[in-house]
Amino acid sequence: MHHRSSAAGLRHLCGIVPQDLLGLTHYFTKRIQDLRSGSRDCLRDDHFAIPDQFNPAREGALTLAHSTDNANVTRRDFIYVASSAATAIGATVALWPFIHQMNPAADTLALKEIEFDLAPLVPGQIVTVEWQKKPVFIRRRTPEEVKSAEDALMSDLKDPQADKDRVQRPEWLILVATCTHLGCIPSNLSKGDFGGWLCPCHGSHYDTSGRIRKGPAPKNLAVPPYAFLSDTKVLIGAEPKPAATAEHG
Amino acid sequence: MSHGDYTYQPKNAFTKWLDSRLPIIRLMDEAMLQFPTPKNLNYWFTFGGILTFMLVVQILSGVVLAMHYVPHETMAFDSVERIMRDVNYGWLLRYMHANGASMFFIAVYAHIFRGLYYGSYKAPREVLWLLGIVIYLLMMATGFLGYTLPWGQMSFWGATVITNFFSAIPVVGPSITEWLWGSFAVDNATLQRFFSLHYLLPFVIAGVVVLHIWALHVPGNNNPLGIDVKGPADTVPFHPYYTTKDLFALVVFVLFFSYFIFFNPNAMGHTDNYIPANRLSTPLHIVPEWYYLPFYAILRSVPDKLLGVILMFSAILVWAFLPWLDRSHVRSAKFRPIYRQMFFILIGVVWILGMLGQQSPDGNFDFYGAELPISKVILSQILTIYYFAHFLLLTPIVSLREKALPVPESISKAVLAKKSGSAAVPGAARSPEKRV
Repeated sequence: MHHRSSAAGLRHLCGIVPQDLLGLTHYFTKRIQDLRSGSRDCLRDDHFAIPDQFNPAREGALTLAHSTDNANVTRRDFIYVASSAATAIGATVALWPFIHQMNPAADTLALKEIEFDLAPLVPGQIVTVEWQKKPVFIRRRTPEEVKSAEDALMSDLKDPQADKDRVQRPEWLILVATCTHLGCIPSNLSKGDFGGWLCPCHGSHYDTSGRIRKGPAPKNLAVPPYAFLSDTKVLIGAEPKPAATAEHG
Repeated sequence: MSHGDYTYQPKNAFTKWLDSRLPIIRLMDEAMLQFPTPKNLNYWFTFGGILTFMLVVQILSGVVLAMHYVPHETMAFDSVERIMRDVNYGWLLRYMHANGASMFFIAVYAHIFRGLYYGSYKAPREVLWLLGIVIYLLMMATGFLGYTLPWGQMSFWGATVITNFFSAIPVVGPSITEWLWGSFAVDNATLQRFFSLHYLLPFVIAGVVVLHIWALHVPGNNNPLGIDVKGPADTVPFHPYYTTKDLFALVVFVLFFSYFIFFNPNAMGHTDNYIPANRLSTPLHIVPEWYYLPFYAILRSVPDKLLGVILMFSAILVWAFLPWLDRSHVRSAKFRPIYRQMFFILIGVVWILGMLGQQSPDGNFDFYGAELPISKVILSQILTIYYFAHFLLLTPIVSLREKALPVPESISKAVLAKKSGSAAVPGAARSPEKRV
């Protein structure tokens, strides 16, 4: 009595592919044996007969007590395949907590938002604040600095982005102060060739919009998520409110 | 390599009993005392023993420093200062450990260049060479992790720059760096895991050292002539001949080490690391420890971030291909006139790359106070290209076309010829293997 009704579409795999666990174990054990012995018998139509005791259509199909010499598949083969599969999957699953523990912990993730009072800043001033353990520049740009940022030609930019896409209010430039090359803080004192920042470590020049203009850094200084709570208060780490962007756009 | 008919014979009842249960004395005897070693090894072959000694020094001094050090961002710097000022002999242990790292690298560079000169990487010692590269990479990682622990400005910003190498990987780079940090920047989580790994890796190194020595003992030592051992006449037992020679070299090396510990302990450090870490201020000029400088110069020579990082790692990985890039059947550079010159040029190139890594990236090259009319960027690019050309182009081409000098028939003949040539003493009579 052979089980050969299902999985007709998969017959090119070699014989009938069973669709229950015992049947699959039998199938793959048999395939491994065929590969080892170089047998091509499976091309024969009836070769992939599932022995009766594995055939779920039969009474007592799950009883593995009998030997299966006629199909050369023993309980030992089944246990071998099942236990190696369980070990491999188990080891992979057990690895994940050991890897994931190194990712930022819940308390680290909680340091998401800081509020900053903009009122004391005079035009042209830059302050550095700490957000998520990273330095953040808040720069009150002068009209000339805004103009030079807005006038830059897209074709001159290594990582092209318009100034208006990097600020919510042109006067306030807020940036993650981490050089996109290797993580140093670009210097406020030496503004570089484009009036923005110069990274002292490996010589990347940023413009008054924090865009990379010269040097090894691949990307513009990142803009963190922030929202203006009022004209003089900004919340760094908050997703921008639609009103705040609408006012600018 | 067999050494006559010698085998270990347990002498008393206990060693006989032990030998049939755990033949550890037999293993030590055959590997460390009787091991037949070419009789012509020079002092360049003593660095393996010195390196083993340095690994032990670093592990011992590190274990006791860990009894006083606190791996926490608010306490790490102060705990190191407490070790220096208050802990009994803390200053000695810390200076031993910090300068020990430099000594370890001095010895490993001597050991590596010895291998390059005498062709120790060639068949049948390829696996020995590859294991050596693994040890060197582990040493680099351990040194970097350890340099972070005092949590000074150079520690913090060095860690920032090095961990950011991984951000160069496309797509997953930023996630990998956050995973390494356990935060959004180098942070307390980073310091704690670096301490854990810094404690772990030396033991991994010790494990690979065992494999390295095992892989050495299968083909046996290379030697300054680079020719195979032909028979017992070419070798002497490791003990007492090389135990004595290694010990003497070790004493001289420890004197050199002691000079730094006692008279110039901060010569190889950076003053900025006595400033506590400040995440809001990058030092104006970040330099890594001296032993990374040539690779740092290669990184900086490339204007593209990803390519720079790839080239820097390739500068070490290219060594792994050397046994197959060098097609010459002659091992020792003694008999390879062109390769020998290339070897010394390579040392010069690596040295100047190291000087470039030390200097700030802008302006002209400063050669010991003399400003040369060449920009540092251009010079480091030329030298980086030469460095890779040495391994990938010159070595294979020269190894195929070079005409080697005649190689001596055997180690014994060469040694005796040298002896009789210089002092006209019949060498055979002094030959130590007659003793056996």
